[in-house]
Amino acid sequence: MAEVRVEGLRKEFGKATAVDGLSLTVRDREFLTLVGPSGCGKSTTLRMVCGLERATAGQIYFDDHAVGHLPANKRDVAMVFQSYALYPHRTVAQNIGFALKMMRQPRRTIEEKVGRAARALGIEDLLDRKPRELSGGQRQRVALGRAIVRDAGAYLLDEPLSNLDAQLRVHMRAEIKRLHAEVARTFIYVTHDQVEAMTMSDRIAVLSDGRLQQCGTPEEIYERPSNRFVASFMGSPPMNFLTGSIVDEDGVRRFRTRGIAVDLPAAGGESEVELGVRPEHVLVSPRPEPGFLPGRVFVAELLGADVLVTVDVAGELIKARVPAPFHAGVDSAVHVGIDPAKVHLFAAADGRALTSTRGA
Amino acid sequence: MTTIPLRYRVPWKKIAVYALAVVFALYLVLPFYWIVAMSFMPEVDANSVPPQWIPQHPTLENYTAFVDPTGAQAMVGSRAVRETPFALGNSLLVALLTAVLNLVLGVFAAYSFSRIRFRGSQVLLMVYLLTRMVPGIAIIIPYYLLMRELDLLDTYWALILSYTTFALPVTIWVLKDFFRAVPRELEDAAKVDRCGWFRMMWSVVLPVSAPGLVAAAVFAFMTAWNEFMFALFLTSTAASKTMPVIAANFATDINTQFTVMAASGVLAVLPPLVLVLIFQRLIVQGMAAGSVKG
Repeated sequence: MAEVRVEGLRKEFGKATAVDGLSLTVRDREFLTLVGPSGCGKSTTLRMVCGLERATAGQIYFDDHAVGHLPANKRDVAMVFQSYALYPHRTVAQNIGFALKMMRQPRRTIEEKVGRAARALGIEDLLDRKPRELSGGQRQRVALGRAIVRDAGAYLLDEPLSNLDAQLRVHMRAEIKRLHAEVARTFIYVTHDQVEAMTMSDRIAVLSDGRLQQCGTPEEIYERPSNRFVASFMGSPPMNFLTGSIVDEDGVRRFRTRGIAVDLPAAGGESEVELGVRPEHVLVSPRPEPGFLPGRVFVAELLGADVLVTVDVAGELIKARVPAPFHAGVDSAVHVGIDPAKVHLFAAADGRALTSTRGA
Repeated sequence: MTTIPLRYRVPWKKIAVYALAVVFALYLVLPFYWIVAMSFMPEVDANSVPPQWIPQHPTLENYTAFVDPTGAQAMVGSRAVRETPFALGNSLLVALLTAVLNLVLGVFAAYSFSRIRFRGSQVLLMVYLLTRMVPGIAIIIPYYLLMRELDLLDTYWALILSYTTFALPVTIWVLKDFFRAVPRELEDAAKVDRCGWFRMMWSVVLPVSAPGLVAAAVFAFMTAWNEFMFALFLTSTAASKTMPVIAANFATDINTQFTVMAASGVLAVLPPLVLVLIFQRLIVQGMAAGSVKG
């Protein structure tokens, strides 16, 4: 049981700064995901929390105990590695029980705990095998087993699903979430996959260039992104962005760019802005409707229940996610409606969010 | 419709390659076979013309000579015969200790080279390799004087220390590459699993590098086992003489008894042979398979 808190964490590799003044609190028993593109510093942060990497500056606390000076083997953490890092010369049972053996727990206790972990992961019948005799998914489970068998304060998972095929990934995603509920421990999960972050987390911390962009529940991150980066990184298909300016016309605040105009309800100080709208908040109609913009279908992609329609509106490509079926062919004329209540505005200069549709 | 007739070609190239391989194999195996066969022959048969490829009167007397010299064997080459059992023991001890000392020193050095980047590491590795280029005869006098000053002449340690300096550069080069091939995450996993450095090395890194350790140990063992010149200079009595020195003694005594000499040769080959057979599985096996995604 532990709350993990990092304060002003900084890591430099030579001249490059991987993590730049990160402060973050992971609550006890919380599932927190660090998400961001490659090189954003999320793995480095995790390795510093783990003790595998020494911070250049800043401090790490487990339940108010500063642990920054402790090496990994003295911290109360368990970790799942991206490559699994199973011990090739040991059987599955020995892999899972290795840490317990190092902690000099009695053999009976180890066997019991290993058995319990293996049952939880459905790998009881693999206990005598060596890692090379396992499939990717099975190795993944052993790596998870090696962590959950421990009675650690925090469980750190470094992109544990990125080496699995798509189907297995979706399956293991659910299993890990379920596992977290069962073991009720603090999980810190690192991924570059925003879908994993959205589906699994209690809270998400979005990182970019070594800095924390936003930390909040998946709903907050999705619906009230604090800046353009978060808005663009989270969500699939990604948000549409239009660069333009806000003008006051006949007492109506209006967003304008080339041939496009969108009426805005809320106030905002800036004049040069980027307007963002998620594909599911873009409407497509075959007939002209008030406030809709004329355009042409650029391409339509069937996603299953929905169709992702890309519409060319005055030279801007706008993606809309509409329910299937959608029958307009390529280049046919359509009309696009942007729901003014659901648009996000970001300052063109620095990308910070100006208004939020649901009263930030 | 035309069909292309399948013409059978005589694979001359293949035949030539195989013929050469057979000749080469015979070239390597026959002398060894002759030693083994001769060691089971009475002296008379060994000198017969034409030679007996298969012993007509097989006997173990050449082997029993070492423990219970009788008649002729007690007379000719007697000192060499008497000293052979001791020499075998000396050789075994020196070779094993050389192998162990090499591994202990080599593991520390090689791990440092494989994981720590420090100024001059590449140069140092090169220097290690260069020491292998110096012919032994060029440094044997200084070695002799050094060992005399250390009061180590005619002891195991004179040989063990010398042989370790021969084998250590190779050991470091071999192990360095094996350690580099150990995935870093494996070490990280060990640390997270509560291992300190020594424990991590012992429980994870060394077992995973077992093929390299065995290869290095076998190399060091063979270096020590076969070395003649330093052993000749640095040893003088049965207290530390090794097999190659004794083997030479057989030929320098007044009358050479070839069959006993052959038997001593067979005895000298056995320990390394057994060693390689035991560890063969480890040498061949790729231990790192399956540890990380692959």
